[in-house]
Amino acid sequence: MTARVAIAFLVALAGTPALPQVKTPVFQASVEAVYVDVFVNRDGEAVPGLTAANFELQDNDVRQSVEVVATELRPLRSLLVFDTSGSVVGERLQALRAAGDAFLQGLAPTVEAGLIGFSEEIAWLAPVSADKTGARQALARFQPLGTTAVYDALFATIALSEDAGRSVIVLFTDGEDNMSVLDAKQVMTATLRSNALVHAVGWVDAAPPPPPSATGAQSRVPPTLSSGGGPPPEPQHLFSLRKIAEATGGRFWTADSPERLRKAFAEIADAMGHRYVLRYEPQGVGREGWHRIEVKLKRQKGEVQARRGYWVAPPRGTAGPTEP
Amino acid sequence: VVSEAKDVEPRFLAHLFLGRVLEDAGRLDDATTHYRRALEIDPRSQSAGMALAHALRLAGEDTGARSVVQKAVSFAGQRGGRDWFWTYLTQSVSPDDLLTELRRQVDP
Repeated sequence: MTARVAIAFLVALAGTPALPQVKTPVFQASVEAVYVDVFVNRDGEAVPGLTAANFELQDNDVRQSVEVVATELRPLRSLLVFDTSGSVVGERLQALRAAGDAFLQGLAPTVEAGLIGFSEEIAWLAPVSADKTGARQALARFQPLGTTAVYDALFATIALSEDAGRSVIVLFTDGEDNMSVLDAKQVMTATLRSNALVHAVGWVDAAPPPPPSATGAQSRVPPTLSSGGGPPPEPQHLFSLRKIAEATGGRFWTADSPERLRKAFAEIADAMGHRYVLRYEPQGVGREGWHRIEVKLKRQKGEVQARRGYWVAPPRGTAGPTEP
Repeated sequence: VVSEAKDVEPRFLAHLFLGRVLEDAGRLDDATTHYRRALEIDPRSQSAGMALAHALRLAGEDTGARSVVQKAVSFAGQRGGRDWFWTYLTQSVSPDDLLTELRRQVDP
């Protein structure tokens, strides 16, 4: 539901909207120690062998003393969240099943995984378990049907994921949201205030070739408007998913073929196997509110991916800091 | 107008929309009250469940939010594809139309 629709309703109902009394939202969190998953790539390859001395981490612009923790001590549960709407058919469906199955098979035996499907409705297709048999079977037999509520599905998964430890959420969708009651902004807020790591894969149909001229003459369309004038701008719904994923330290992939879809899932699995977990106890910063995190490399070159921050709730009933 | 309407569907939508407006205004207690009323009308509505859960998380009630989401998801396959918010979206009913319908029911 867009805020615009809801506000229009209120205006219509009341004639004049009531002046709101703003109360700062509060959130639960624990920050005795902060754990940050970090991915380091150079020329598209994960960079191995880094130590704490290779990382500089700032929490709200204050440098922190970090240690690198063995990833085995901070396992991530895997939650696959797959679009099962009516458009996921044929080659696309087969590719999704194959990519998801390969991802599940690649997980370590001790890593728990579950499968959530969504059209307009959200459903557990396979509950979280270290035994991936149920998830693989559900992946093989779900039947695509209905429309798309990707924001509701992502929010539901985030809410469900926080009952035990951290989760990596792998979202797949092939369409624009058209049934969610929540919007991208709401889900972004929920995501930022969660511990989840979100990777998203969007299926994008390959751009059609430029229409051939009936006379064989060159198109009169200016280069900046033709398909040859550069990549088209990213659709808003894909842009939103990209922003949500990147804010958590995850990434957004687009796929326009089974091969690219398989590659995206393989890269996610590979990244999870080559992550660094930084641990620190915040020093020199206030406890409550939004903590902006910045991670840089020292004495190494590479591209760093990490969550952009975390949120600590003020005590209930107190006027707290502003939201991220 | 909302509380006196006879038909449940516009009443459900009115509570859902009022909840969202109040949530955006930071009045989270009031927002959750309206979302809960929508859920009282249709306990199996996933849309109302998600809206309520989101407001609860904003209020710091993560455990309550998770419980609401678990319940909403547990109804999957039992709604017969029905959720009045989904119907609203597919029918492109304007807020003014919704208000007109509410008033018609209160004072035919």
